[in-house]
Amino acid sequence: MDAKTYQQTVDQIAPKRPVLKNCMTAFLTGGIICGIGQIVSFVYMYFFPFTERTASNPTVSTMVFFAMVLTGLGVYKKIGQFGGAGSAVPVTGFGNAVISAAIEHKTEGFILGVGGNMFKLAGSVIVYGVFSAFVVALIKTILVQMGVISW
Amino acid sequence: MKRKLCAISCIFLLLSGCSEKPKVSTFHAEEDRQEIETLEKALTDNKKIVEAAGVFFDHQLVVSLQVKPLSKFKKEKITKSLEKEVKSLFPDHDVFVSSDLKITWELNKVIEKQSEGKELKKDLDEIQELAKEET
Amino acid sequence: MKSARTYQFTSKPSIVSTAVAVGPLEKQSPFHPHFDHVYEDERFGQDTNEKGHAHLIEETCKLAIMKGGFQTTDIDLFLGGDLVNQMTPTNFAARELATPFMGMFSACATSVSSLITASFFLESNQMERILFGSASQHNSVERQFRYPIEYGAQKPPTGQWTVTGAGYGILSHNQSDKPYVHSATIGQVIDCECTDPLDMGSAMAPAAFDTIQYHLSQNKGTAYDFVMTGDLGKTGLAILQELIRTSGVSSYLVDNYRDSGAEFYGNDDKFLSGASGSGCSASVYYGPIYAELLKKQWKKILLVATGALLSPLSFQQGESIPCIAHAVELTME
Repeated sequence: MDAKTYQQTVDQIAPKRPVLKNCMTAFLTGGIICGIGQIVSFVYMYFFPFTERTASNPTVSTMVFFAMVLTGLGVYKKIGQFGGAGSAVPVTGFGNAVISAAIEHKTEGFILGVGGNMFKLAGSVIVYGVFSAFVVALIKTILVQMGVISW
Repeated sequence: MKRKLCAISCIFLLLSGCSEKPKVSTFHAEEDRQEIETLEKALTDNKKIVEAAGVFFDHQLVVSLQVKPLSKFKKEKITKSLEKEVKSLFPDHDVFVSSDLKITWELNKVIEKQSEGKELKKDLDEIQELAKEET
Repeated sequence: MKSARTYQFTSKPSIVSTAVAVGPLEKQSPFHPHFDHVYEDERFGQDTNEKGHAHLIEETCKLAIMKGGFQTTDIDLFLGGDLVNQMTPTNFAARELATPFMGMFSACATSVSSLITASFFLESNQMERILFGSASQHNSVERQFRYPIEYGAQKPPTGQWTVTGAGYGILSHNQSDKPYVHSATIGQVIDCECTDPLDMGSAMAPAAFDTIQYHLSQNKGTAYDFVMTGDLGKTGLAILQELIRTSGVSSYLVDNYRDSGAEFYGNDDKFLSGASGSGCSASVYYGPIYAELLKKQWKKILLVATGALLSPLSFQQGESIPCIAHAVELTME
């Protein structure tokens, strides 16, 4: 069977991802998660001596904590099936990736299992995040030295 | 009919958000009317601010402001330019400007409290310490 | 393509007993009245998913042996396999059963490939009773092939749910009151360059079509009650039906094409395109379909189990998904 003609048959028959619906649900889910994050930020600023700038740290930890609880209870994957990118992109998605891998690999022990595999999914986020930060900082340093821009 | 009403009210809401004058509150420990007026004029003239607060104390001036939501991308630039403006208006004052929400809340608390002397100084110093925090 | 892929078994080996056990989620299957045992715990009382998988296989095999009125020592050979790395759940179950054992891997087509192999061994008349079948457990297979269970990745509408279930049977010499294996067609690896592991149905449909077409062409004039594929899912079944329609195969005396995966969970959208896994075809073929054959509801059926022969590594390395389908014709007189 010819692969090209078969692919045409598949394209005709196989159900496509409902892109518009997925965009709407992702928007809704992502917006709600970020809304909750903003509320958490306000709580930290109101009740504790955090400023807008310094409140981002405990806010991120709290959101990851929520992701941990929801992942452990098996609820996050349902949110993920509904929201798609809306639940994967915020920091809760990063938390879910790390936590789900940690839960999965507990059977191999804490060192080789949990420790060694925890960043199976989120590893590339960290590697490329650090790498791109390095590249951007390098470019900025060079441009500042050349006098094109200032700090 | 309902749709038309909705559309018109939306337009009004949008417009109202555009040209509101900033809400300014001030407090002067030495009750210098002149300085208060100068500061208020500088703040109300700035179209990008939603609200602002200023406290004068013993040649110290602490100003906090909140930027309009759509201008939040240029928050730093607006703060810096306002800082320059205020510094030029009060060259003999020790000026401190911040756009942080927490600082705004704290400064508004100070203005409400209307405290004097040492307590006011302590409050203002605390606020500046808070703003300098990095983590 | 080799010409002789279809073989007839003149000794007419009969499937004398079967057993099917499933996990808690499979309780909502419309087939569940025919499942011998529905477990409440998806880990079957064990502390890891893989151990639970092995336990499921062991218990189901023991049940099939017991239902046939045999002892484990009566079994001449155990043919089985699963989807996990190196088939360790089947290996560990075979250790417990302590029968002669040969592991078989055809991905999700193992349910039928083990039956075909057992038929050949029985045809040689050197063995009396052979235990065959396969199983899958959702958590261990997901971990093997896809993401951690709790990871919130969004599955597309072509995705399928791996069944937690086991189906095993015992093949022996012909018995008049039991369905027998009439013939079988051994599949060949078909690769239509599909690369999406979340759309196995599209990848496996050409292999199913190839085997079905071959078997039917060698058996012109035979009327089948239905052809049932293993786990093409709703997507794959629709594609298969389209391939059948546009080819000459539709002229053969078959008009009913079913799929275990598409029917397994009924019409619940939560399971997207349907069920999959080596336990899907095994639990349906050796559970409800076998029971219906015993009741003489069907006279001649063609069971075509399909398998996707990929690994998570081959996919990451950019390879396409080669598939295979094995067919077995069961007759009840």
